[in-house]
Amino acid sequence: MNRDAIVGLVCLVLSAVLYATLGHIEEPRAAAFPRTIIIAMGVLSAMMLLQHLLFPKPQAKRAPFPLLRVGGLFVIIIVYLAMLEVVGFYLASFLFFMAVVCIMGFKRLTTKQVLSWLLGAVAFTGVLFVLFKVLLEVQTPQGLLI
Amino acid sequence: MVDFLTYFPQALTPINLLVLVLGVIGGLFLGATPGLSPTMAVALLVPFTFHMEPATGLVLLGAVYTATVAGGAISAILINIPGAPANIATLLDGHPMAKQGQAQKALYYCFISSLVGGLFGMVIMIFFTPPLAEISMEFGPSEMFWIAVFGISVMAGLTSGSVLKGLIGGMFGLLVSVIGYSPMLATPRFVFHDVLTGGVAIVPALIGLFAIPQVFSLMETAHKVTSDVEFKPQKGILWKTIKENLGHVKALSIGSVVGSIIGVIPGAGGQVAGLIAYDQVRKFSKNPQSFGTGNPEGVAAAESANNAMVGPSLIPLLTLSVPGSPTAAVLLGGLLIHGLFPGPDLFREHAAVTYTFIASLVLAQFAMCIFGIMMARYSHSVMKVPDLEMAAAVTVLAIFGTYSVQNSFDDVIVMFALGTIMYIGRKVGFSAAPVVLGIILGVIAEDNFLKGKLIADTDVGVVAYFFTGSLNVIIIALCVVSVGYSVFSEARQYKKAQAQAKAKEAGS
Repeated sequence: MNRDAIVGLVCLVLSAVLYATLGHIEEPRAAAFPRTIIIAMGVLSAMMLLQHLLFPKPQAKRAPFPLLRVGGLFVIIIVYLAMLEVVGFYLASFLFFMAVVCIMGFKRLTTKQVLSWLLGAVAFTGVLFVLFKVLLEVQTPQGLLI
Repeated sequence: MVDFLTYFPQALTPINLLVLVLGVIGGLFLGATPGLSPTMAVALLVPFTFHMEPATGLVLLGAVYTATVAGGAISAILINIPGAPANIATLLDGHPMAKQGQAQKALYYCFISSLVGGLFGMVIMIFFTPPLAEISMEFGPSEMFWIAVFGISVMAGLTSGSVLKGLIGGMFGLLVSVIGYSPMLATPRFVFHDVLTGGVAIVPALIGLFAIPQVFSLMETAHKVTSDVEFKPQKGILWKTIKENLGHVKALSIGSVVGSIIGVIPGAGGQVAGLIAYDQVRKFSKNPQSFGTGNPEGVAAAESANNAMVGPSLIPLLTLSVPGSPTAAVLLGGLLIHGLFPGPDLFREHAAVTYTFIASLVLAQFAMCIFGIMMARYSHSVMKVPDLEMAAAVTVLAIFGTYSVQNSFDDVIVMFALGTIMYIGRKVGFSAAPVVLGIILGVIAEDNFLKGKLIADTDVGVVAYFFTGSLNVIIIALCVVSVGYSVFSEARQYKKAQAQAKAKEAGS
């Protein structure tokens, strides 16, 4: 089964699961519109599945997925989100910026490069702080620090 | 036109002019940065306009929209990577010009042609938008329901490689729009977690769907080195280039007209406009074989077309809530967070805001050209913003922007979750534009669907109410034509690919 057929199958299963959850909606009229959409999505998914089973397109060769880079960033963002309301937006953002450039760019780690990143992170969060906290007084996630 | 002239001075207030200039400079910078699309740039800015006066906020969004489309040509010309999909046609001749040592001339061509096309598109917009908004007064719930369906069907067909994927994306967006409490019946739907109780707000969805996948994509390419050309600024070529560029009347005219027509068609966008205009100018040229080797006419055609699209892409948006391009869809989010709903009221009750916005778009065209030309000499350094720093900065701005609208951490979680889903979706060929349109138009579609059903139940019945009447039939026919055309195009592409594969097999 080619990739697009699998995508069609996944969408079809998702439509079926969502359709099953419609039963939990207490007021039938509130379920009318979502039901119509889910049925349409299910029909389109089935068409996609059939299209790619009956008329498979030649699959282009793909470059290997950079799981370490993308997965690494995903984990850093999750940690950043968890820290936001603990240490505060500005400090968490500074730490996040440094974490991304130092961890993801570890191959380029030199004293000069780290200093340049440090300067960039301070400047970036500093501009955000002055512009939004001082001038515009926009509220940000509050933590123990800033 | 009278209203436009009446409110024009409001675009010239010091704060609006300051925001316009900053928006244009920032837009040129963002557009020139490979990996940052105009749509994402505008999506990131939407929450910040929430803290501004509506007119000023819209001036900023309009300026950034105009400038990012033109700024995308900088990276297309200098490093052969279009800053935005709208600049794909620009690189066909722009990059060869740069390789021949004419990078600065190509950049001047780009900004001058963008100004010509952009102004043409704005004239079309100014003349056609108010009367079309009046026509939309004729629309009842059934027509508005079908207009929402039409918007999704067109966007689905034109922005994805596959019509079915585009439509499924649109349906997914519609489903996301119904999460939370039903607006008319106050019944919870698809509230699987507490963070979904309030539903999915437009701004977190916009930012998540456009910014987060881009951040992950930047990470994929962060270690790659892009090839570029040697850039040597030249002195004294500006006036000569302006004269030469304006002499290409045919290329500029075809580009401007094609761009304006494509702009009005919901969902088509600058990419289609640029490529069609480029193709037409080449066909009409006495020297078609010179295209693709550094012919300035190719740059003039592509750039006049993609900027001519900007104004007309707002016509269906401001009159019917149906955006003419993915970026216009994001602009709709900007209108909605200020409580401005498309339609005739925009030109009556909110005339000051609307016409200030339109006037600022005209001014933005001039500002884009002036600052673009000034930046051209230094544009090479813009290319050097590293992907890692860019990814980190965009993530911080995305989270900050999302939080600041409602001071809600739940919104941040929803934004990141939607963005991660969209990144996976993009990997298997889905596009963010139909999903966003589904989320925006879902509210209009459901509201009018339920209102129409109430009327129909006490009148002629659902089928007769939704499927009869001249306006209903016309809009349904347009839906069928748009999907039919997309299916036809896809089938033709499939056959072509099959024939090429067979020829390759036979050759080997």
